[in-house]
Amino acid sequence: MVRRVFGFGLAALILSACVTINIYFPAAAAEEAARTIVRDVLQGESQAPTPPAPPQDKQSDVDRVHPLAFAFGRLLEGLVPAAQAAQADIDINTPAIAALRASMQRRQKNLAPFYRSGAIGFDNRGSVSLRDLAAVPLAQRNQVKKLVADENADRARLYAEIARANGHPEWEAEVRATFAKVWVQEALPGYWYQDAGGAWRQR
Amino acid sequence: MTDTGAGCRFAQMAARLGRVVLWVAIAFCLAGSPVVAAVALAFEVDEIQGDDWRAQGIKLRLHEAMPGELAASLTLDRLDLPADHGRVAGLELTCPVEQLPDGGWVCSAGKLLINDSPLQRQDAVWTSRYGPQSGLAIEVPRLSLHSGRIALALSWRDGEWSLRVTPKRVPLARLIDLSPALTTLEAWQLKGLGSGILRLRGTGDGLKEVESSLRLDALSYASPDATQAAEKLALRLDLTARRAGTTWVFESALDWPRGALYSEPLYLDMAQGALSTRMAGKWRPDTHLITLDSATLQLADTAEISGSGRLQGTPLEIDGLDVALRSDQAGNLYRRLLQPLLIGSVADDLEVTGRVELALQVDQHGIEAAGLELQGLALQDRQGRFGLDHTDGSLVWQREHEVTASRLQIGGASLFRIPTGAFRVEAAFAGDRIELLQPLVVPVLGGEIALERFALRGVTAAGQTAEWQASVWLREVDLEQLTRQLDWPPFGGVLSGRLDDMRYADRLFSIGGGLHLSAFDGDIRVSGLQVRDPFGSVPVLEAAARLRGLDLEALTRTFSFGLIQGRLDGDLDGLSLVGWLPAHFDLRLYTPEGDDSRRRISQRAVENLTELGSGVPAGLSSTLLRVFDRFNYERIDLGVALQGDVAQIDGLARPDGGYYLVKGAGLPRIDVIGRNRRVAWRDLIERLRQIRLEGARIE
Repeated sequence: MVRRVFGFGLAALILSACVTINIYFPAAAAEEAARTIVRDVLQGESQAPTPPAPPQDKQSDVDRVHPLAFAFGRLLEGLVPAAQAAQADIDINTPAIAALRASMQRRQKNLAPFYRSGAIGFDNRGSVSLRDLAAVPLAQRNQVKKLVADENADRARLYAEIARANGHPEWEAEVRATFAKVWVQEALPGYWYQDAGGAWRQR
Repeated sequence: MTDTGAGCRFAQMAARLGRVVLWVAIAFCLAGSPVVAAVALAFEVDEIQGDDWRAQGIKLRLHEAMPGELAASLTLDRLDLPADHGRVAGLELTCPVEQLPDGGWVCSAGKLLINDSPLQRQDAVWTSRYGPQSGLAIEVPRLSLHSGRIALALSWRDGEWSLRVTPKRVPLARLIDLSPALTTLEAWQLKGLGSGILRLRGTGDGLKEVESSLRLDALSYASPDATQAAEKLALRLDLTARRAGTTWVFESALDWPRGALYSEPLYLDMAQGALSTRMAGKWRPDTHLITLDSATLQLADTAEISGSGRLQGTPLEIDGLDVALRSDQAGNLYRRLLQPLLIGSVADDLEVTGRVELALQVDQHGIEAAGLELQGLALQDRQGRFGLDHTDGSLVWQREHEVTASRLQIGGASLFRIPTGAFRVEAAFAGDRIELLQPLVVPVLGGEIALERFALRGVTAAGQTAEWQASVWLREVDLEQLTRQLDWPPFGGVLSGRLDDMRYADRLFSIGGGLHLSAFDGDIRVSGLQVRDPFGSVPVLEAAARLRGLDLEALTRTFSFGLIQGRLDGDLDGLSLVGWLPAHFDLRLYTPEGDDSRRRISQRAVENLTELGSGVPAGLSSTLLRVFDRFNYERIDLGVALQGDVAQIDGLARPDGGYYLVKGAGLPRIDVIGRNRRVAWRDLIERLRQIRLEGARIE
């Protein structure tokens, strides 16, 4: 009996220890969220703006897994309630994020010719950098610079807002790093991007 | 070795100068007659070598071609020019020399042949003249340089020399061939044609005078870092400079009549107004001091900048400079010169009109004093965030001293679509402080906003962001006009209050203390109001509010909700507007405890409340209760909590799980009971909109 009580105590301790892990940045969910946004923004090059995708129905995902695994998952969900659930997801459905996505998507069609000419590219810090201003006709250079300044301001706000909306403003740098990776991965053919070493490459 | 005539060999000498080896052979042959019938002179050197140049196979010959006429020729096998300037191969210079009575000579039909040189192959004529009085003059009227040509004229007399270079449509790209120092130009993709005239005069101790009138046509270039570029630019330089002792006195005119110029971050298309500069001053190379007596820069249809001052040092730094700018077309000034500098700031997308004059005094430490004169200046943010109407007046500022008042008369302004009436600003600037000499009173929406205190920091310090702090009075600002301007549900009442600690720093606008609104015969106190990134693409407003003793009759009339009599308290917490749209709030509206006012609710209000709670009209008019127009109630209790796109509705709890929105009293008694607690925010807004549209007030 004593051993059983002790066993429960230990289990509780282990489970509560699990909860403390949840403060870590949810890298996979953040990457998925970043991919959703990046694809959505880059669509702006050719398509009319689409409304932000609805949040994924996690239940339907869970239903597809093995019943035993599902039961175990449910058990864990019961034992480690809210915090664990929050850790698994990144909320990108706030009005601010929607407004920023729309703003970036609208700008994309103006940026696209300059991405393709190599004048600008996705740098390795999650921003857009001027890569080769010489590729831009003189009369358009300041227009490009303004587009890039506006885009980078939106991106900076987006990263901060995602971190804030998910209750962890301190995640901003990690959100930015995640996006930096995803922008490069999702760069459209012909676009230029900066690799981790700082060298420019063309997709 | 060459023998001439009788083939007599006079001398063969060898000289050694340092590492230089000279082989000199002179042959001088005379005819047998006592009178000199023919003269022949040959002078040969195998090699002359200097520190960084070398000439090989030099032959100078002089012989009598005709009686009284000598033919001179100089040939040179190879000349390696100093400082890697290339080499000259197969040079041949010949000239029949005619002797003049004054002891001088003239060569009027010289020939110059060069097989290869930095100026390519040359086959040119030249003339030369020497006289004891007139000195030496050499002229090469035409040297070809690719598709262009150059004329040279050199003279030397009494220790004074002059050189005239006259290029005609010389391709600038080929200048690279002339000097390794110019090879950096190769990366600049320099194109264009140079013409004009350049005159240099000097003495044994150096250059004394420069006079030039040069024209560059179809000039294009692009620096490798893309910060400097030009397209089809025409450029004209007129320069005169004379040296007196150690000081050069110069006067220059530089015009860019056509083409386009990019100099980061400015782009100037001369078709929109050409650029020209005039400068007059002195330059002392020994002390690196430039004194500008007058300088003007004119950008047609845009601005004229004039100035004078001193620049010193290497690199040049401002010692003292007075600059005046005048623009009768501030719109062009903004578009062409200012906007490129403001990219990335709030002010990078403006529509500007009016006239501007600016005077600046600059010393070694930066701007010392500034004066700005505005005439009919108006600016409007193209994104509609702010604007300034017809503004007249002057601003004066000094770094170290408090100066006379700055006065501005502003015809009106706007901030987030909220317009203001005309107002005056009287302030004194000093350092990075602004002191209001008169309270600044801005008429806004039937009331006024008075700025009592204003402190601005970090404007003049480099690397700092501006922040300001103010205390403000709001008096009788009409809420209905305000809410209409913001496209919110019209909201009657006035806004008054004192904001002691209003500040903007690090893109955060905040109001410390509270804001007090008098509306609907009650009080609304707003606290914790702050707007993050107010001029960004997604401003975020946060606030909380306490509503106390609002007159429901006035309130429901305003909203055309159907009459409700009584008093209402409310608590609004955690309000968050993102992009000016509600993202989160927690609102509770309720009948105050101990309210002894008459509490009655109309049939229409009951229907509306019911519809708001359930989305279904109450249908009272189809029941017996339709004969009663109004009902007594005990308590109203409505809670709406918005989180994301879902609103949670709540009221006074009932034991059956539902909640009272209105708990009736007396007879006939009517209760409005809610059962649904969650409603999509969009639906709730739609229901509210329906109610407003049905009301008489809006129609």
